[in-house]
Amino acid sequence: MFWKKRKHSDFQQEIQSHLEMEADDLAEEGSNPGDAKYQARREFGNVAAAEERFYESQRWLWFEQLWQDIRYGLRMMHHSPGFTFIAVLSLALGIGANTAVFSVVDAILVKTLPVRAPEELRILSWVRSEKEPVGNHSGYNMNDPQTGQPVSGSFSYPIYQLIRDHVSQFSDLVAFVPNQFTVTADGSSDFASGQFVSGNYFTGLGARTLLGRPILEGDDAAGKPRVVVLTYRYWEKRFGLDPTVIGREIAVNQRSVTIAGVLPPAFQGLYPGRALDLFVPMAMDAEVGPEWYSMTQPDNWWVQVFGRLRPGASEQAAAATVRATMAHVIETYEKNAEVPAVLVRPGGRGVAMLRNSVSNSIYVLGGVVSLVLLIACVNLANLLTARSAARSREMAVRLSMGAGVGRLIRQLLTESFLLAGTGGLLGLLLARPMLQVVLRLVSRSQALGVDARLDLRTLTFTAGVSLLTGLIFGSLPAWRATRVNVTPALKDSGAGGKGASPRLRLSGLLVSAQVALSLLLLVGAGLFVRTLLHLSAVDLGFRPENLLTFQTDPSRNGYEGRRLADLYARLLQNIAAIPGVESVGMSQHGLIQGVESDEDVYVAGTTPKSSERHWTQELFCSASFLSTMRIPLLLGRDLTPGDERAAQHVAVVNEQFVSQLLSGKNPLGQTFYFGRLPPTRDAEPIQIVGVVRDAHYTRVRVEPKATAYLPYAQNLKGLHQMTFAIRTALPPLAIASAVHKAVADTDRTIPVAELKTEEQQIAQSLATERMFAALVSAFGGVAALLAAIGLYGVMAYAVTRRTFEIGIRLALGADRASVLWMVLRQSLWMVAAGLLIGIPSALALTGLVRSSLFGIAPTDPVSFAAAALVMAVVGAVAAWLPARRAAHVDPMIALRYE
Amino acid sequence: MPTQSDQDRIVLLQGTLDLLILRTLVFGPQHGQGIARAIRHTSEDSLLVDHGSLYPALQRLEDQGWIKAKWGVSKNNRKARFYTLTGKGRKALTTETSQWRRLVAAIGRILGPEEAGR
Repeated sequence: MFWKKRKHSDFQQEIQSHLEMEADDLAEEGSNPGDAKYQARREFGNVAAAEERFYESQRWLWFEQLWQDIRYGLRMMHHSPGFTFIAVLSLALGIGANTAVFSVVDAILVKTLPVRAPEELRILSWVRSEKEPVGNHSGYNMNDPQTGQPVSGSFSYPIYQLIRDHVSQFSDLVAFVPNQFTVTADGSSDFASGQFVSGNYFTGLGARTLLGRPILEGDDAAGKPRVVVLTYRYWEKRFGLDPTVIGREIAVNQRSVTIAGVLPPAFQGLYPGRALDLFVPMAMDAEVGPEWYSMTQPDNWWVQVFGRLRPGASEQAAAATVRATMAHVIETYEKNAEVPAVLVRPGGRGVAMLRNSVSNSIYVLGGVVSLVLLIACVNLANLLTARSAARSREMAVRLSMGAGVGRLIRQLLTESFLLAGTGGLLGLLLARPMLQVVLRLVSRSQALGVDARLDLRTLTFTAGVSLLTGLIFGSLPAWRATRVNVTPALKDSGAGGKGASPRLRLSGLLVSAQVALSLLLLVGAGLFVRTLLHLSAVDLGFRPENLLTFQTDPSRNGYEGRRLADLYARLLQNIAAIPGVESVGMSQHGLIQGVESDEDVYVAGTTPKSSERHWTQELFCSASFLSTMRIPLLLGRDLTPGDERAAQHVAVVNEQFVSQLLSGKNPLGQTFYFGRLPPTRDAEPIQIVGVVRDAHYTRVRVEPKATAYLPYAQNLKGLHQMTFAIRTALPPLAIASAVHKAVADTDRTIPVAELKTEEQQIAQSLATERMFAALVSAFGGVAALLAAIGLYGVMAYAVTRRTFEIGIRLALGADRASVLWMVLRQSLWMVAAGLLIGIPSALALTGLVRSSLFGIAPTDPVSFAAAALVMAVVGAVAAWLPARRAAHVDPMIALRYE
Repeated sequence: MPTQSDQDRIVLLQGTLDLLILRTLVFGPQHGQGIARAIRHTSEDSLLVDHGSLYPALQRLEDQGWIKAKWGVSKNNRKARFYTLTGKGRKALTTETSQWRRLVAAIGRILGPEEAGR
């Protein structure tokens, strides 16, 4: 319909035949033929006008006018490059930042998994309780989003098998479990995070490979040739996107395997956001997995299960059947057990772990970028209003010549949309680098496997935001511009007039709004900067300078127990022999890595209430660890190499341990046990031999808790990975290659992972805080600058309007200082009004970021005062130039001007 | 030319032309010139259709889907564009007609009985 237009010639022909027929009729009625023709023509009226009206009725006139508006808009943009530059750049910044945040929000919170029919997928979980019949458990602990109950998604392998084979409500029931691997390829070893997956995992989910083939049912059985599937990011990181990797032999935990396929970038398993490197068939768990990930033990709960609910099947019925099946298995090892309630929840978006852990940062970011865009909008509305003031004569002329108000508004809006569209396009370009920043912001130190791309959904979002932006900042000025009172506007020579016009009042309001919004960002910037300063000033309790650290785990290469302990001892020796190394220590977790181990502790000779739990952090370490970290000894003695083979278990504890658990008794010689009361048979008494100062363990933010440092060799069963800490006389990274060599000389297949200095590790743990501070400060600066531009524009216009009045004042003897002050005062009023709105709004909003702050309250007076001061200074500076110009008005020229 | 002077002719109110066109087409397909003539004759020469507004009106009605057009041959063997009433147009005519009657009645009541001696 839109494009079905009648040809002009067709219409001309119709009129032609009309004239002829009319002439025929007239001739029939008695006129002579020549007159008849003339008369017919006269009768018809103005043929050209009729044709023109026909032409206008056609739809494409609309496009013609649009094109006219666009050309006009482009010309306006070209004529005021400064205005266009500021407008487009501020919009690009705002739209780009919003696009970047949107694509991350979309990827983590909204998008469904890239699998077949994701709406059919269901997560299986069960409600945890005190009496749950579970032997060993590993998996996530989270709360069910619908009921808020604590749930687990882990089952034992026999339960999974039984559900898979007997619960008819599910068509595909897939199992997986995350695990860390050591991958050896091209002569080097490194850590890789992967998942054991059941043979039906890829076919059941309908996930395809980019290259090669996925893991299939046949691969998941004992005695088959072993294959693995790589994720795109690992293929890129480790193999440089080399397409010949298919069929190549690599080693996973020292077992030889063949690379069967590579997955597309979008597929990252069922934990959205968790970066994965490779997938390994579940059957390999028996060979290379942790010992207690048992395929046969019915009370070891570790495997996670997703299912595809058959069309028509109900979730309740499925849950009930799963529970009944579970009861069968539980029956075999625990009679009369309480079988936990089973939940079947939508799984189309995967497991919501990441959603919970990053959503806070995302909301703060989303708030900040929306503010930035809003400020850009207000700024543009203001600039456009000021410009429409300059164009009021043009508007008056056009209105008095008969132009329709609607037509004018349309033209002005087209100009706004042009600006917004250009800003949006540029914003898309900016969105790419911004996306990287956002990803680093929300991910903290862990690698984030979010497939956040600028795809069609993002493009749609950007287009929508651009359109909305154009409408927001364009409509008010456009409406305002066309409400010109024609006569005075035409009479007005442009410079005279008096006082504040309504337009100036609107601009003043907009400036105040800008000041208020900028203040919000500046207060945020102050809070985050001060948080970072407080965090940097925290006394960690150990000395992080000149420390090189790396992680390794030879247990995946087959070392265990005493052999592993001896290997670690050799590694310590070989590293200590490197020139430039002062001392070397190791611990099961590195400090400030965000990881901890804790256990319940019971001190001998005390009678705690049974409900009381004493979660105590433990750290198994080498004898040289505390001295290498420079954690000062306060009482007793340090751990010694002699402790490692001694029968008597010993520990060094920190001050928190003494004050919390020993209530002031002399700690030396006291013994404690791990575990709850009463101590189990194999619980060893541990004797306290020394006390050290409190030192931070997991994070800078987390105050030291009660901690016990224990000799690693007294825990042979739990001995796995270690983080080495090497104190050097040289800059730490200078010995990096020597460390690699020392480890390789000990055993070539042992990986050296995460090699970095302790200071880098700490900086990484504060990356989110640092980037929040930097980002919000940068945006705050931009906002303040935009506010300054807006204020300057309004004041410059006001001074121009009041030149005549100022001339009179000066002629009547006003001194220049008072004129200067008069203008400055007007601008400071606008700033003050902005602060009056901004400060209470900020007070109301900063509570939302409370959890991101450290060492200060959300109402931190320093941040508020600094932000207000910055805005006041910005206001004074922006008004200074117009004020100076006002003060230097020559009364003679000003009065002659009219 | 008609005998009446131009002053006696009534200028058509906006929108009424559409109604008259639809009404005229009830008797069967007709071309633009035929419609203009028919309106003039039926109103006994008191309504003069401004041909300049006739064609835009026809175009408008065609766009609304109330009438459709087709090229054909007139009685004098001239090529002409014939307009036909559509089902939608027929329905529109009914509602417009009753609306018009109500309007005329209402205005008539307000103006009161006709005064003599104009």
